[in-house]
Amino acid sequence: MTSGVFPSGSAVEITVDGRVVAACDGELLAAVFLRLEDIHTRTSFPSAQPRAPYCMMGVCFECDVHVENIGTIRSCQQTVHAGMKVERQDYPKRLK
Amino acid sequence: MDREFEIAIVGGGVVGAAIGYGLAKLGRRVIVIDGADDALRASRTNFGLIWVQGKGDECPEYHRITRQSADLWPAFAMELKILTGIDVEHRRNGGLLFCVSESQAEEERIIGEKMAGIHPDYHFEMLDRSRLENMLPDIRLGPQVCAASFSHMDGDVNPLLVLRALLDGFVRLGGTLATGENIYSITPILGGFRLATNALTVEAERVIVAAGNDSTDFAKSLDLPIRLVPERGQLLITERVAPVFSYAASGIRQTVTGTFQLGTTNERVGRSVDVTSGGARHIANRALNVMPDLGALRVIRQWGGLRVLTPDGVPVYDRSRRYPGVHVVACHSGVTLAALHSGPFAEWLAAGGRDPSYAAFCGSRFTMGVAA
Amino acid sequence: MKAISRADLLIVGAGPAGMAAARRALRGGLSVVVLDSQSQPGGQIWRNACRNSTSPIIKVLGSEYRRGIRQVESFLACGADYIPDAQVSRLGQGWTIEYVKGAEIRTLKGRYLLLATGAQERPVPFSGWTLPGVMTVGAAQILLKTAGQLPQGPVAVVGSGPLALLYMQQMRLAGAAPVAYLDTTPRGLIGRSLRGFRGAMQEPGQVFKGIAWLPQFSGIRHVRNVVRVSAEGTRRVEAVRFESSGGSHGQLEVKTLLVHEGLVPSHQLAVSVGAQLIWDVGQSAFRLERNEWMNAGPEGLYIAGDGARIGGAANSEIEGEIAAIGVLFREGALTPAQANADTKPLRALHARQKAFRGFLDVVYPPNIARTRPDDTTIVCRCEELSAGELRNAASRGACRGPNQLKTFTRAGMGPCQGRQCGYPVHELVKSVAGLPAGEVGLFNPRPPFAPLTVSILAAQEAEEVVAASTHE
Repeated sequence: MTSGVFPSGSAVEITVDGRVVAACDGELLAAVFLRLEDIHTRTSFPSAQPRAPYCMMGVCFECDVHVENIGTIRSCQQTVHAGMKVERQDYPKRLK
Repeated sequence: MDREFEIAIVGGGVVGAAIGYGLAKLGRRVIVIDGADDALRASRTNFGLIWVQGKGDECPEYHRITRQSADLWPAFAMELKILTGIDVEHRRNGGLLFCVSESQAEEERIIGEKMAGIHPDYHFEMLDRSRLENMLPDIRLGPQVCAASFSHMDGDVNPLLVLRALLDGFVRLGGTLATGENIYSITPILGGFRLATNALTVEAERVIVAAGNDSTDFAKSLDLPIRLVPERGQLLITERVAPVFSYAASGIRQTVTGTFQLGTTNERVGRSVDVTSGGARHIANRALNVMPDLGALRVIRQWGGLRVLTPDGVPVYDRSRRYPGVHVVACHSGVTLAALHSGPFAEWLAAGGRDPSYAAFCGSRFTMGVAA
Repeated sequence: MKAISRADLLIVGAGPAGMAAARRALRGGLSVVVLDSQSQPGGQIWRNACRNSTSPIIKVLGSEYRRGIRQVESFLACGADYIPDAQVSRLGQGWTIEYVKGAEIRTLKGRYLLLATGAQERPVPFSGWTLPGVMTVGAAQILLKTAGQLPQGPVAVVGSGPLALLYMQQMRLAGAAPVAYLDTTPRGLIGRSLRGFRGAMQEPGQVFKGIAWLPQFSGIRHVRNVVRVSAEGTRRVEAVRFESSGGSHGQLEVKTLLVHEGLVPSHQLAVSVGAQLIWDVGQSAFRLERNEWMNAGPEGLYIAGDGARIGGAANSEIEGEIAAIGVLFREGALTPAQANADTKPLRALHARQKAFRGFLDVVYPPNIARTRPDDTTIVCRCEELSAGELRNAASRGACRGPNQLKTFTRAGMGPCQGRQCGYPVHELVKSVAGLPAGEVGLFNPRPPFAPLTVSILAAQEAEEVVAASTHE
């Protein structure tokens, strides 16, 4: 697994689908996913294929994830902070 | 492409396409002449309800054809599927008119009882909050929701797939579809009419104007008894969530593929189809009053269109006073009425459209006739 | 942050164009607000410039990026009201900006609106482009600039153009060169370069820098004349297959496939308020119509930089400055003589930039992006619609524009709102209908232009809707 070649912030922990993951404070959430073994952020509709960050500038919406207390967001437009609880946006999302 | 047809239909929206489909099925040589990619196109803003409740409360004939079309829809959806392979996602699970106050519930009850008094087979029932909660186990209702008027006569459909299936079916049935056309003139000739567009000239024995709000462009030259008062409706659509709500409802519809469609506004703004922040707020609040959990959903798109409305909201099915070979069709509920338009109504037109079956929908009820 | 609700000039985008415009307009005495979607100014090209200025990564990012640090610092010191992390959700005539910050919509009003929204990478659909691990080159570069991170290797790069060459150079300096460059530049590069020679000579320094980045000098495996690629894999990309114009095939094992075939303007906001799209043959893309002051038609609406037509950072700075002078002129703060004198040197520079861009456009035209995708290739990523399905619907429905195809198929109706499938659908409708590119438009842009929830809309301050009585 490739990690940052240049350090970019202090180490924090977040959770992705309940698992603890190491991250850097203030980095883009999508960057965290791109270091994981399973880089997928959402699954498609209708065929439930995995998708992952593609454009990193907010124009493809493939990096959509669910963040507790925020909702569905593009992980390339979201910075990381300690304790963030993130879930992959695997269809179907639940209304309540 | 042929240049001569029995019937030319001006407008390839859900009304023109349904009539064209029905006429082509009856073996008529028909051309549907459709506008540009960016034409007004009310069909793109349809909410997708097949709505019967309370429809035509002041015009029993309007209620009768609405009910007739809703009853024809299940078989019609099947027919479209078989012919075109397109599943238009028809459902007839019933419709809910949510009431957020006792006075609103009382109004709905009065309308329902009045309708039931006129139409013996009319169905509706008032549901109190606890019955609603039992019906909707996956939905948390807003605190103000006290009742709903429910009718199993109502249903819904995917309006965009309906339009696609109608046009696809029309072509499969031998119809000619011309798109991207701007009609410059419709002139009477011996035995019919000549229609000139930016790209083609065709001749047809008869003409049916079904051009939505653009129909009034032809009102003067063809002496059509039509008057329209376009009304803007704005809509929101949300991200997809697991299906939890399969009923038709006032202003809330969850599509088969999971998005929530939220509506709507009724605004007199001329021919503007702009969307506004006021419109978005209005729609959002209306939906949240009924289902507060929708608040967490991301809004994907807001768009708007112009309802094709006559002054009394009832369709116009009529002929030109000067040219009996020209019919005009203008109505709001093009999706609800699509099964009628492609079936009995197309048969009536094919037979000449002269017998008084649709006399209740004559345009001369608006005294001035020609559009302002 | 001061709560501002009104200014003379509203600028959307704090990239090269927006920053240059803000500086010039402030000097001319206008009050200026600059909104930007990122947390720091600089746009995509100078992304994270301030924070990176003290990091060792700066050595990797190159001289143009270092120039950006100075530009960002001077912008931050210029006195403009700068609002970061602000995503525009809607524009209104006359002019209003609604933007999302935090979890609420805020509103700004101004007499002039300058859109400096920049570009996005041209979408390049091919079989497997939706697999995790397939990303754009620009995406990988943003990853490098913001997180100091390289994508998981082995990495292959497919495409053409300066950004691809620059990023491969940056990868190499960071110590992890790609395993191959699958070059989609069409045959005849040298002939085209000679034809574009006059344009190239407008910026000889840039040309030499570009030559130094060429794969011939970097030791990266270079596969020329690639005409087809596909990404293979199940849960993520595992291999890339390619075919060159000579008919030779190849396959490489990769964990990341980066793709790039140039840029197209981010036109959606401008079109939503009445700017006109014109097909630009040289760029194989739409540009936005403007006059010599960067006015886009409607009174008070200005567009500068790559958001109107691709020209690069230096060109964007020039256009931003011209637009600001145009606003000052319109405002009466500059006489016609002053405005003309001030823009004269800028117009000369602008002409040089345009000629140089013409050279790049000729040398690196889009290739795979304009190749007919296989029937099974997904074109609309959000709604998962294949090229075959879309061609069938376009043909059966006699579609003469993308909006009717959108109605029939939902292409462009998903979360990205056609930002990815817009150009591929344009190409598809054009080829099915047999129409010239300029006669087939793009999707109508629809708000909200930034993601927001039903709750956020419900809480927005807005005028009440006046309901029509149902019947007269």
